[in-house]
Amino acid sequence: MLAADFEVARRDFTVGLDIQVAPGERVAVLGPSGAGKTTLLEAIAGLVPLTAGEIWLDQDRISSARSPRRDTRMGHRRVGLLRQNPGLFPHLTVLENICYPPGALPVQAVATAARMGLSGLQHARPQGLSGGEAQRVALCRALQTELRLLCLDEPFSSLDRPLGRELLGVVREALTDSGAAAVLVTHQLSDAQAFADRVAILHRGSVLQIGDPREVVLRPKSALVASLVGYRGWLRRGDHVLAIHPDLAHPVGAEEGDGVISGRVVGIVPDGALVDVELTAEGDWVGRWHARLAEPPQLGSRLYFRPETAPRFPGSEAVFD
Amino acid sequence: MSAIFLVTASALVSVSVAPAAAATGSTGLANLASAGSLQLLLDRYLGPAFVRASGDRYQNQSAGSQGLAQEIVAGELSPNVFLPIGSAAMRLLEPRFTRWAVRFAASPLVVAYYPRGPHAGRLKQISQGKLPLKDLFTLMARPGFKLGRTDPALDPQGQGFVEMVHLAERYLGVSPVTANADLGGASASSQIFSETGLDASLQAGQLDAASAYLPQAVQLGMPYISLPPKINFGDPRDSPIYARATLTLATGQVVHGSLLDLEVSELRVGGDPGAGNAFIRFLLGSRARGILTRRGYTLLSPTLLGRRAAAPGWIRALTQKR
Amino acid sequence: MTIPPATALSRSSGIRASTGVALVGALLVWVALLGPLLALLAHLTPRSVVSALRQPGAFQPLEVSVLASLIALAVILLLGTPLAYLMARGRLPFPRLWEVGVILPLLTPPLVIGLLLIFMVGPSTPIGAALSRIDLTASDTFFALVLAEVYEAVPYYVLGAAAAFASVDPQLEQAAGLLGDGHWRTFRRVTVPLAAPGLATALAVTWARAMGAFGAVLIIAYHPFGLPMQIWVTLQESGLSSALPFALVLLVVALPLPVGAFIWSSHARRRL
Repeated sequence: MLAADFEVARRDFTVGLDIQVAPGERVAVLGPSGAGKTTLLEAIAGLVPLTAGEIWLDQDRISSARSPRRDTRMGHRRVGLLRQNPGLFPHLTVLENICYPPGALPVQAVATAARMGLSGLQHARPQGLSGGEAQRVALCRALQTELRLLCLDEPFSSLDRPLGRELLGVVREALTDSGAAAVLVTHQLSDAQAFADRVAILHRGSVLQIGDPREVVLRPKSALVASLVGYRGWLRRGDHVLAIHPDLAHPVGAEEGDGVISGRVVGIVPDGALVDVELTAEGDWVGRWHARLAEPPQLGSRLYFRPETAPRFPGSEAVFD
Repeated sequence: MSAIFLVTASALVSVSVAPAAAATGSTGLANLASAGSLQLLLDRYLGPAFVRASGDRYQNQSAGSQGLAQEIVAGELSPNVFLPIGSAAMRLLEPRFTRWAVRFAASPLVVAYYPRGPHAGRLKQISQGKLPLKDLFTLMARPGFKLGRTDPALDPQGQGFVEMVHLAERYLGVSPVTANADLGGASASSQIFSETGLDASLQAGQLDAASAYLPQAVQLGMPYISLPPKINFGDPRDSPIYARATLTLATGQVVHGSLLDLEVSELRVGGDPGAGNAFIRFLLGSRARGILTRRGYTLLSPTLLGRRAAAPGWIRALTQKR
Repeated sequence: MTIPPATALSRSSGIRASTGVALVGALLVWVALLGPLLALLAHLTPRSVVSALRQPGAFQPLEVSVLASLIALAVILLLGTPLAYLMARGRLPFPRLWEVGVILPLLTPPLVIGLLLIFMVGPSTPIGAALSRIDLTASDTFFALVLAEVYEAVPYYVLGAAAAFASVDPQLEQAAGLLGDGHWRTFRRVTVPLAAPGLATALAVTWARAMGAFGAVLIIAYHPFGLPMQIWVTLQESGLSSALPFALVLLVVALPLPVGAFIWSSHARRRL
């Protein structure tokens, strides 16, 4: 079990995390580029020292800002790290790579490799592998170290989405088998939700909200969080701001009670099997929002929208104007 | 291959000489090959004086006399004047390149020493005559006394120094055991340096004493202990004594001690005979001899060695026995 | 859009022409470099080689050279590898200062290195005195020969090895660390194998330089004779034809290691 409460000061801002991850639990940290996601993982993996706080893994204090010299060395923390660059050793075969960690047992390695569909590639060189195959080997290799925690730094973001999704599934399975916990950082909300039991939202080094993957989307705590989890509509009336999620912006008939907001269609863009419709508010609401609809409406036509479930924030929190 | 080098060298020499001669009409090039220890004397004093006096041009290459002679024999060097120390190198060039040589000065051996070393006090007293000369050899034999000398296989000075120690046995009463220790005994090779290495080591104080020519010690600015003519290889009247000292080289060749004299000759293959001749004339003249004396060389009245008949008339006249 | 045929032809012939020019230039340089060797071989007769090598003690300088160079190589490897690695990883403060320090012996004429070594480790210097307490003298001894060779050759190794280490992706070393390897194991199992082709080349050059060291050797280590000194002395004693056989011996003895290293290096590079 990971108990981390620490800070790492960077040049631009301080990155901090206060979290507990139970054995076998999977946590995703969602944030845009530059939010400090990699720094968090580097701290947990032992690649950077802490400037405040401590990190405990089970009964061991593996990092401490007060006595950094006694931090457990990376590689001895039983924390693994998967990154975009799989880091396979080019002078070794796939099997030799997998067996690289000091405690690796060849029999176990071969078995793990087989489970990941790598049997035919055992004697291949990393240079000949595809991106997905290389990441599987890297995962296999990391699993040979009796991990308690696996950190994933957007390892599949350079692969195409379906493959990345598939590999995340492979990781989930492997983690379930080994019982290790995991912390994934990503900028893709869908990956975070698919992979993790809990999702944390990171912005400029601070976790703004953490919770169930759907909860953080349906009930963002602030306008900032809302903007980070996919809300693309901001309507202001007086002192309130409404955040509108495109997937929750189904139009209603005009007559269905007051409190209905009317908007005029100003843009229509195809989005997968649906269309992304941009609307401008009318009446005493000011602002624009997006809705993903099955059928494209007429440009300039009027649609109505019921704001009940839309999260409401004080005007001071407005993210867009 | 030697032929090609010879042709190329001669071509280069004539190419460099001919246009100059054509341009100025009469200036030639005195192209010298000389012993290493004569470099400063020639390049800084005799050479410029010659150029001023004659209007000819001057060029010099100084290196080990023996090595230069070998290069001349192999055709890699074509100087028109050869100025070695000691006769051995000159003899290598006879009869093909020259048949005569003029001996005009001597470069006696001394023992130069480092003035701030642990033994400097004693050595100074010996040089001033306050302690007997024999003490020098006893001092040099002490373990821990760092003596340096040049390679007997290559260098007349190196040969001379070894022979000098042996002559000291005979004329100064130095015991053979001491003499052996002086020359390093079993680790003799650790006393042997290249010329540059020897000079540098002595000046840096890494040696207590070193073999040297008197002018060389003067040039280096190092104090020195003079040796009596019987053992300093600098007096032609003691030549028979010098000859009694022998040295067996690694090649098995047996060398007899001889005067450390400065000899000069004009070589047949070197380009411009006129300028070579002019240089030798200058060298034997009073101006040059004044410079030699000031630089510490022992002047000798010019003596003709080799085949008298082969030498130019004016040299025969100059070296006529009085 | 297709390129009109005339342009396509001239472009390809332009490429052929520039490749041709490059090849001719390369050939000229190679021939020029080999020139002295060809001159050497042309100048030697088998008989002169045999008679020179039949002299008593003719192989002594060979033993001295090889032994001294092997020891020098070992010393350079031991002392130079950590320096090269730290330079490559940028872990030294004032990096420019270190680079200048390494390249200075390269810029200094070997003769001058020898002269300066006298001032630094000569018997009467503090360092020289300390050395003599453990029975080592840096003047005219085997130790001095090794020292002179080390000074002449070490920049080649450090610079070459630093380049080789720098070519190893630091993320790979980090990956090894994350998987449980300590510094030394990572160095041994990842850094060195990946840097090996470059290291081999650097060692080859360093060996060649150590075997051929002469300038500093002439000053502080006249004796014991290695092959370069032997050539120089024989040249003065007995002339060119007696000295050249030793030059041939030097080439024959010194060449296999670098050639082997180059072959192995390119082979290993292809496997990576």
